[in-house]
Amino acid sequence: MFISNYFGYFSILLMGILTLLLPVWLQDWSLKALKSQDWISIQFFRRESRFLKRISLWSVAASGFVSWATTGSFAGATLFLLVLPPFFLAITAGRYSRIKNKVAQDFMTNLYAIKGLLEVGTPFPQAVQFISEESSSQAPFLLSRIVRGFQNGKSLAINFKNLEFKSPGEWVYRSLILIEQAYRKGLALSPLVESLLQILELEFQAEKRLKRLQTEIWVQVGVASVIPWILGWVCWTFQPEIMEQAMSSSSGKLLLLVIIIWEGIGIWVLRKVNRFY
Amino acid sequence: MGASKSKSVLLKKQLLLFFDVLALYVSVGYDLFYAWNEAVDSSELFVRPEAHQSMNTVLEELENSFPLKNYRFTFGVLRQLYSRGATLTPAIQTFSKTLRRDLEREFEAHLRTAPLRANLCLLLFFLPPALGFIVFPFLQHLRQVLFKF
Repeated sequence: MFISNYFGYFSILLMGILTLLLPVWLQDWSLKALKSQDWISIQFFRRESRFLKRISLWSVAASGFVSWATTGSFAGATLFLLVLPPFFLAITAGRYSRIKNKVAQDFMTNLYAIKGLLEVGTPFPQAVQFISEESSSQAPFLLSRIVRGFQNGKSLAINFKNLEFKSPGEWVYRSLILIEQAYRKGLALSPLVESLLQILELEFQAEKRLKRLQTEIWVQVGVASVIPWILGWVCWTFQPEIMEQAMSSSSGKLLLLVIIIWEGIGIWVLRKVNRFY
Repeated sequence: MGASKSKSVLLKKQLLLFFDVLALYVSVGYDLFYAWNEAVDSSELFVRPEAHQSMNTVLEELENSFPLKNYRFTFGVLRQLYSRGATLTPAIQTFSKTLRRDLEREFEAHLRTAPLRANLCLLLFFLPPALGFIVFPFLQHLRQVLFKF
């Protein structure tokens, strides 16, 4: 099944090199594409790198095998490599977003605990340190860095800046800034934390509703974008001569191109229309 | 349209944070100018006023040129209250509540209208391709059959 010429050998060599090197390139590219430089993203990519490398390795290897098994060459796999970066980025962005939301949710839980400690008279840095030691969630890693920095003489504001989430929906960072400002000026913290928690609850509920709506819409888009191609395939199955005649003509090829571009524009418009922030 | 709407929502969220921080300081007795500078450090919305600029000038500039036209009046009201030495805390807290309710209303409106807009986009951008796949080949075939006659 191998193509017994230099092109066949070259494509095998190329696929081997890409299978080894591509995961690392894709990981770096995804990090740059997400344009995130905060502490959470750096930790995320350190932890997720093995997972990302594994799925890209298997996807490149699987596409190479399928292409070779069906056509005898790696041309199909080479085409698949054009699709791989956006697919890889979508997976990475989705996982990163889930991690950030989890950290934000954990922070809110920790804020409830901090509020309780403040009410019994615990000073704020001690409350933060206690929570960072007792809590088993991911957020304490960040809280412990804040406390360590504070103990080394840095102000809480400088330490809180490391938590910047760069997202308009995440009020946790902004709430921490308010708490830090109040603490620095010796203002009452307990009522502030209480009012912030009420706001955070509303924000999280709103984000959940928005995400649910967006998921429903994108599922509809996914189904709607696939339907024309399924219909085309059904027509091809029942009337292959008519379909082949139509699609092999120049106007048929133009129609295919227009359909792809039109669906692409539709997805772009839906992204704009679907966005709230 | 989508880009400017999301930009206005972002601006409102930043303004809300700014007013929350401002209210925090003003409610315990800090002067507006001091509170303003502290709030500016926490928010990305405004830059610190120049050393020669008075609070009156800053508020007047914002009253005339703030991007959200519907909220320019808040800076006018603040300027009036500040120049008369009146208490600012109730006003700033009211602005904060108004902004929050405005954002909630926009959010609810978005949740109500987003499914309809999505359905319209689906009809406009995904139904024609489906029809194209069905209709075009048979039209081509029909044209060829008619051409033979």
